[in-house]
Amino acid sequence: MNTPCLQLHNLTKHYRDVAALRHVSFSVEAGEIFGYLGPNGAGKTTTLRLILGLVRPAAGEVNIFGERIAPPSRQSVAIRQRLGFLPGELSLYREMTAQALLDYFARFRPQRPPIWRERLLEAFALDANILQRRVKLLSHGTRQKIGLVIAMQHRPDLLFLDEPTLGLDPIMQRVFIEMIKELAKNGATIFFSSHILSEVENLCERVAILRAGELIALETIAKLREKMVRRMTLRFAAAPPDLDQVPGIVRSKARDNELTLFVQGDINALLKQLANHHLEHLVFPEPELEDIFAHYYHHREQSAAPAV
Amino acid sequence: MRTTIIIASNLLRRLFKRHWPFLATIGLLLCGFQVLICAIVGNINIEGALQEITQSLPPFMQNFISEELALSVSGRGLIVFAWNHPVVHAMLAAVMIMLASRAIAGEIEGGTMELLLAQPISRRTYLTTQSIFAVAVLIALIGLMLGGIKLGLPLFNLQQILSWPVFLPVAINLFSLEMAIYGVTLFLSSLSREGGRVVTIALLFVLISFLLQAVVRLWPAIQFLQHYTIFEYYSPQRIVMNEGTPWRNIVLLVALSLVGGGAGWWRFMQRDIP
Repeated sequence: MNTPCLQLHNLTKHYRDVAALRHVSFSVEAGEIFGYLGPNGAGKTTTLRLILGLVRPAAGEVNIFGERIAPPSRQSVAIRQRLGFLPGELSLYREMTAQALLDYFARFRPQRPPIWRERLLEAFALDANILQRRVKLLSHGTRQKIGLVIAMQHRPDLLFLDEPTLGLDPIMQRVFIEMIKELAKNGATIFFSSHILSEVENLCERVAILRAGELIALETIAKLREKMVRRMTLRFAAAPPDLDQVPGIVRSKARDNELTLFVQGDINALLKQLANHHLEHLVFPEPELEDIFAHYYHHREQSAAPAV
Repeated sequence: MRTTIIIASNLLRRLFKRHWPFLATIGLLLCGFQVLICAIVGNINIEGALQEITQSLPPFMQNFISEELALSVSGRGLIVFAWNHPVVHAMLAAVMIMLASRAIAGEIEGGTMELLLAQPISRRTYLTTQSIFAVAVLIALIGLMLGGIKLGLPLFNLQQILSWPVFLPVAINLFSLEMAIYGVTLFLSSLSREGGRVVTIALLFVLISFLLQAVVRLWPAIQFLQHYTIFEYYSPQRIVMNEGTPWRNIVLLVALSLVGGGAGWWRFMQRDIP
């Protein structure tokens, strides 16, 4: 059996009396694009900081490539040669030029030259003119792109990204996704932390969902989609029909001519039913993280409730 | 080992590029100050002028400055006093406080420590490099002061009253004093996330130490406090008068530097970033 690329075991962190992370355990296989989902304050950034040895765990450990990295060990520094990292709140040396900054961070990995830098600069449209400017003169989006190049220029074996698309315009977000896919195709493992579900859904094969420092789900995207409860809002010309018995409807809420449906899984049966009615308006947005959390919490509470 | 050296030299190169304009300015000012003092001593009748000033002071003030003036009311004394001048202390302390506060708290405050320590850099390598840089800077600055004296003495025909090697033990004592300031500030820096707060507290520490030394001399009733100011352990006048190296003082200051630096080191190794 292959050793997982990244393994978290019982990872726990407290800040004074507040539990930032509670007994989190999971593993990520080599070559996987792994999503780490959770609302702001769930403990995603704390997890990344624990993995990288920036904060000390109260309990538990992290192994990367089969070697312990946290709590820090003799191998920690050597392991970090093979990692890439983009922090969620990126700060760069403001007085340096972008070019000097890329060179500065590249020199920390003498055994791993920045072989991917040119490819990334081209993809992110960072030309020589931009690279000669001081960081303080660059826009937020350009700084984020520089941060991505720093994280990926040495083509890391394991890349950690904390909210990487913050500040990127939609075109650059697409470019970024392409670059991540290309990196993964070359064998890299990607650990992608985000609070935007659609972003993770498009890119990741498997996700962990975190809430209030607790791991509430570890699923493949396919399974997550099946379990997702999505909200559909419909407005009818007349009083809304009773659709509660249609397969896939979890529950419904009617008000005047408006009907809100909570739908799970296949919606074909519902669409067939709706074809028989005169619809004025239909909204079927991307599922919200909170809806997914609600689903998992609902299940947990049900399984935790004592049998009557 | 080779990788560690490459990483350390990368950190050192950046430290140098970041600080060199400020450090070069301070170095030139310190060197120039020594030359200037030599020029004053070489061209003005210091003894007559200072005696006149002293006699015009109230008796208690004369008592206070009598020890200093015993030596200072001479060209030789004034040149030595230039090594204990508030301007010199202010400049050197400013450099040491700036380097120590930026090493940890400043880097965290700027938000760059997180990205930096996620690179293959151990905290030990990081802090060792910072300390090596501070030591090198201090040696260079004190070296420039010595250079100023070595240049100024022959330039103004003062070799007959003083030779520059007399300042070598003074330089060692000054080095230990400034390293003590660095060690204490590094400890404060390891506890904080705000460079500005560290600078303020460290400056207060230096200022209170400096003022305490002056007050103790003015007010004999609190003389027992003289041991609690770091400036008590640095006196170029006494060194030149006795012409000996004050090893006891140097050891005390080095010990303070090691205790402060060591505590800062330990705290930095344990602490969470940011």
